Amino acid sequence: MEIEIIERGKNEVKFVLSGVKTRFANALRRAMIAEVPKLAIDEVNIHENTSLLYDEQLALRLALIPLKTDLSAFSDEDRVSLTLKAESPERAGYTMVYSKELISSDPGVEAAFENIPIVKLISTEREIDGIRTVAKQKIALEAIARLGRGKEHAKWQPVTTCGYKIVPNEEARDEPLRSANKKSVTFAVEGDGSVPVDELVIEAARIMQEKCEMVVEELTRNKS
Amino acid sequence: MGYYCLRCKRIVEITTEYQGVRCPYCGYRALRKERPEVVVKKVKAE
Repeated sequence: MEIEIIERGKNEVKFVLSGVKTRFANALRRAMIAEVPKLAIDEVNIHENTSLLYDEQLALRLALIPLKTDLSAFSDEDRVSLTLKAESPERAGYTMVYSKELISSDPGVEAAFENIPIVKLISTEREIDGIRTVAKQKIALEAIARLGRGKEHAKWQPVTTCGYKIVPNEEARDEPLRSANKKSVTFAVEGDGSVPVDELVIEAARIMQEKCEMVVEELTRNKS
Repeated sequence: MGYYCLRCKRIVEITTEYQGVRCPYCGYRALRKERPEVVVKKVKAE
């Protein structure tokens, strides 16, 4: 097996995997999508929400914000608390609440992108008999994030794009049957910013290795 | 549970004898009833 990196960006990588079977490439792809863990908001304690969004909608929007995850620092039992407090302006108008306003209990955990809009808070002004009142909107909540996997919910999926293309080599064109086991695949992986993309590919491969070792262990135990 | 003035934020007692509503401290006519503490709602984010 040979690996050649063609393109490497901050959140995306393109590489050629040669001398592997398609089923191996597909297993790696599926591991990247569904098995690599990352942090995502799982529960929201809403203290106040007078915005236009329902509590459930607001919770889902928060859940889909990618959070920077250091895979070596967290276990499945760990929880990170993020608080958010925002209010619409004093006069008529609106404030957009962005992901950067989430205050985390762990300094290492923050939104991967700070400009993800969460909710728009609107202030409306009215005057009755010379008395001016401003109706303001407010949100105050605590969000609890935990490690999860893409197979549970898409919010724990660390990749946005993850696919491969089979590249037929010279040998395959001449003798397609003999060279069926020696294919090259071009992988295109794009992370959502929560886990560095190179770490993500390595982690997926490590998870595959762990699973294979478990099968071998189980089989040898049954044999003896 | 009393009312509070929207301008000076002070607690205002309402007397039924007095015609109309007005804050005795600042004269503002918009008062708001105090609400009890909001119960925290737990929502599953999915």
